Amino acid sequence: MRIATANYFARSLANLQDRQSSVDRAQMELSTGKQIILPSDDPTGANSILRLSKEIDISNRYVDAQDSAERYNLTTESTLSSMTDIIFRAEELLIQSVNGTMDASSLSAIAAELQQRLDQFYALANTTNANGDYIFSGYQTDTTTYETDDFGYTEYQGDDGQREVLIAAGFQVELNDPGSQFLENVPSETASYLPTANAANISNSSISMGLVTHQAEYENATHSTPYTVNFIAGAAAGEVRVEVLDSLGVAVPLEPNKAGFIDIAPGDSIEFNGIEVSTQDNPEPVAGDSFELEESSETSIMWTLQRAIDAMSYTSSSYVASSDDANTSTAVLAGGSISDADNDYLVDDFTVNILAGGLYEVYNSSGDLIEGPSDYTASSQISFEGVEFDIAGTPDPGDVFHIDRPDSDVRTDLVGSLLTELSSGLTSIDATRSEIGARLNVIEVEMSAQYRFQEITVTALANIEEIDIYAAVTNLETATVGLQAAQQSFAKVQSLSLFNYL
Amino acid sequence: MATGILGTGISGLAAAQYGLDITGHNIANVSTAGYSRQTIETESTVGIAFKSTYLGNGTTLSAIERSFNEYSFQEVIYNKSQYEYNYSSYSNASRIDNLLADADTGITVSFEEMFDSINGIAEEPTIISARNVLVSNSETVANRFNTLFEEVAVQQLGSINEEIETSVDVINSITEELAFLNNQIQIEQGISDDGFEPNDLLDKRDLLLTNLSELIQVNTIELDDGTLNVTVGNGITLVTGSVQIPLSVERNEYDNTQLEIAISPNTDTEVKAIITSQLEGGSLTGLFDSRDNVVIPAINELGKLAIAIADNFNRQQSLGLDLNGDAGENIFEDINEAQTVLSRTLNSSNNTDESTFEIYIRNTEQLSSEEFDMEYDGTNLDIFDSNGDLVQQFTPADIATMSAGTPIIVGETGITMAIDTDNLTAGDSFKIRPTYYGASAIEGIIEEPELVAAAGNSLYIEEVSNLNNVTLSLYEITGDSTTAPGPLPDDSISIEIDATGTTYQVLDSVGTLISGPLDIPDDQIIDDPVTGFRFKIEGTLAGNEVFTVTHGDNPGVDETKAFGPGDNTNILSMLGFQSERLMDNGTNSFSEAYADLVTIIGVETQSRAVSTDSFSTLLAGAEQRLASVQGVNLDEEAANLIQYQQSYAASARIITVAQEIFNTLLSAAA
Repeated sequence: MRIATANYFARSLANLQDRQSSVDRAQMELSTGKQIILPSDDPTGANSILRLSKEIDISNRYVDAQDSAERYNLTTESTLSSMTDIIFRAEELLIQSVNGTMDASSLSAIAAELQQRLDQFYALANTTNANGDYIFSGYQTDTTTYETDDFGYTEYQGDDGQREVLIAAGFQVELNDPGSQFLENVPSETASYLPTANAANISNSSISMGLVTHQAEYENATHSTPYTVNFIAGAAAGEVRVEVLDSLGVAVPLEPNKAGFIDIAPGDSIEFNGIEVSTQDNPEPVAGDSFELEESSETSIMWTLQRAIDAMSYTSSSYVASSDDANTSTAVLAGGSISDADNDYLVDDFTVNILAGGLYEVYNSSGDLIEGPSDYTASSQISFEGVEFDIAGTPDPGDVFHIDRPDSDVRTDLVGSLLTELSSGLTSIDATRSEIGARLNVIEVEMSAQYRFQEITVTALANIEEIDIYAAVTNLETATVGLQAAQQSFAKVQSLSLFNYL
Repeated sequence: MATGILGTGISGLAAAQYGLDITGHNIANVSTAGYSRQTIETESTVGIAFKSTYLGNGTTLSAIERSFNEYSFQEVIYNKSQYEYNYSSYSNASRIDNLLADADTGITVSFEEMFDSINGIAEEPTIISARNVLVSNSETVANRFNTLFEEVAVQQLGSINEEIETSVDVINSITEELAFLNNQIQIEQGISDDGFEPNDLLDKRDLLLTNLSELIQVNTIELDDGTLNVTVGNGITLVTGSVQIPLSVERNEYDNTQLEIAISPNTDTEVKAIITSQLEGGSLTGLFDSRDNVVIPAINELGKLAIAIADNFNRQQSLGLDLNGDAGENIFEDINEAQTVLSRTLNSSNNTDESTFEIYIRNTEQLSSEEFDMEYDGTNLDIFDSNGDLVQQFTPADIATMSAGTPIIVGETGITMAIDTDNLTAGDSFKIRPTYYGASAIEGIIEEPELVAAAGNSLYIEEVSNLNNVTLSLYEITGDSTTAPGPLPDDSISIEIDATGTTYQVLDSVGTLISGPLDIPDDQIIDDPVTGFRFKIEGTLAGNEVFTVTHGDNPGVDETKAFGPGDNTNILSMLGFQSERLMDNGTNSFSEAYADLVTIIGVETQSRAVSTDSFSTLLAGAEQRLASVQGVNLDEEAANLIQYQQSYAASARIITVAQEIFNTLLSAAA
């Protein structure tokens, strides 16, 4: 074929440019490390790259969430571990306290340490993380987890919210454990009574929750709940009159005199069926105020500790007698020491009935006659099973005296039940700890799963996107050699012209 | 003219001289574009009768011919048109290809960062800094969309428009010159002898045709008088004889920012016909190809993604509570903002009076990037998809409803339509572009980090009766969720489906009707226009379903679900968007939809690159073939130079011989 000179030059130039762009491409692939630089280089490859990169981004997010889930759960775990230690120590102290040789000062030392432990526990329950968020408040992270109410009892302020994060596709793990789940809701050996003010109350006064202080009396009670605490008219100035009704509207006998109502100074507490409830002196309750006490079979670890501290003040080892409200005489029973206990002596609460003719009977709490009818006129004493009371004044026949067991026995009873509650609390904390352990375990597993996934995906991505370095170097070499050859041959051929010979 | 040997010598000298002239002309034009190599042809002169034959007396120039091959030339201009068509289309496609792939201009990076910050909030919803990151990342995402829209819809379409105008100017100046050359050639042909064509004028005309072919594919018909008729498309004449019919640039019937090509059917009329769709080949047609098949679909696709993102995040916000415990506000500008809604329909410039429509995006899962045509025949208003299939027909009753401001759902397109200004006249036509401005309208409007609604709302949905186990979930709360469904004593409402599963009504807790009965649309997204709740029903309704919705933070009735700053349930739902398939009828997640867009643009670019390459090869071959006939070869010219030089010397020698003979005669006579 004829070769047109201008066309020859144009074609040679185009060829050189082609060669040059191959070199440029090879060089670009080498310097970027990628074989797909624009989506049009390989549209399906580009699609895979975008999808795989997204997978890696998501996986990184899972790993990020795993890190914080681990961090949060470890914080909780270490706090719970400290709580467990405190409960162990409290159990030790309580066991010490029921040792018979404990005197009042030893008990008050125990009470002092228990108080410290409770403060410590309270601080732990109110743990905040680095952001200042309360870790046991559920979703209410800006609310102090526990606050003490007007009567010194802790109250949970948070909610049941459990925050979750996404640590793998469709797999969420909890970050926090609300206090309501394990610090509250501990099965009680007795019961807790939670007050609700009647909406129509006149004053803003409140009453404390009711906690059991006298186990035996609590257990012997037959009233149905909820109780209603009413402040009623009739008290002298500076006092308030209180009655307690059971759910059927029957008046519950109040300690100490088993009366249907009692006049107390505002701020004093009332006791019935072994349950103690405090009133408030500022603001004072007024006649017409009413509260419902709802029975709950659950308690809080901190209430239990608080009750343990209170119990340490029960030190007396004598029986205490009180006159029934209906007594016609003013006679009282004093003393109550255990002088020479009978062989079959059992600690209990007793009732003394004065009969006509200077006789008396004694019944135990089950209603069994254990003494009498005996004569009291001779020694002016009432005694049964080795317990002695002196009679001051002259009792009328029909008078009734209630004999309560010694405080030290009340304490022993109570400590037994508190120990059971503490161990339930421990179980509850342990259950949460084992949940956390399981979570941490899962997080670990998912972490390594994500790392493995990332390894695979990154490799897959590299296979699509990145160059094979050897192939790329070879490409560059080939392209360079090709360009060189084209340049040299062009230089040679273009110098050939017949005009050179003219 | 001298006869005899002297005359013969002189004629030889003259022929050699012509030869040298043409060779010189060829050499001088070795690099001239469009130049065709010329050759001389000589023939022997018929000499003096001598006996029964003739005695030759020299040579004479019979023709100056240009070496040209019409077939190769047609091949060149055809391939040139195709090459330029593909190349110009490829250039525009690759501009978007580049833009979307670039980490700094694409969506991916900012979008993934947004999810990183959402994950951060899910981990620690009370940390302001994590929320701040989301606030700024959401703005970045919106800005990325805005930038892409600006780059593509404003800059690129703008430069396409400029190129269209320039191309038309160039085409017109070429055709004008062609008409002028036609005239000249016609005159020259008329006066010159056979064999002496106006070669350089023809070259010039062919060059103009080549240049014209770069811009647009043309057909030519050569007439006997030497003039050339030039047509485009289906015989649309640009040049006939010495008359040029210029192309003009007109605005698109619907979108006046888009340019079209028009021509007057004959010279003495002002009426112009739009011929864009009839054009073939050439860089001008390539511009339209890339505009209509790559750029505008990409803009619509990007808009669809932007709208889906804004819609899903805003709706999820409305379902949550912010750090202050208030109902979440929009993160992005409302997708159905009043002005945006009006901008989605375009009137034909032929409409008698403008009618305006409100196009609401109702369901972004169904939404496509398609554009729709709407026509009014005097009775019904018909909407057609891009294939010309009827999507929805609005009856006169529908039109009345829509004119009253109540939107009606348009088929399964995910949009609803109401009429803002009804000036409908039979024959009116409109274009509906639901997503075109999506990427430009998206805007991050959340400013305070506290306003990110990370916490869940306090609403409970309970099933009272549910035979088929369908799920009813909150889709959006358009009212204030802290007051709705109040003010009821127990803050609860019930949603009741009728026995056939086709309508629903909403009642308050004492059984008083709040709204309904209303029809359940096909996509099973139902609204309570009074309380502002929107619900999505999934599953097949059996009929008679009853659900209740209750406030969980209603003092005295239900205080089990109070707001807490540590609550992250709502932001966890947002995090789910990273992989949930919320677009394209449940087939694509946001990033997958973007990946698909990138892939489609990649494929479009790649196929244009491949065509460009193959036509480049075809063109080079055709050019080489034409050049092998037409082009100047310097070696050949050098040889010719020698040849003509030698024949010149030889002819001169003939004259010397004649002189010597004459001298011999003179000396003999002396």
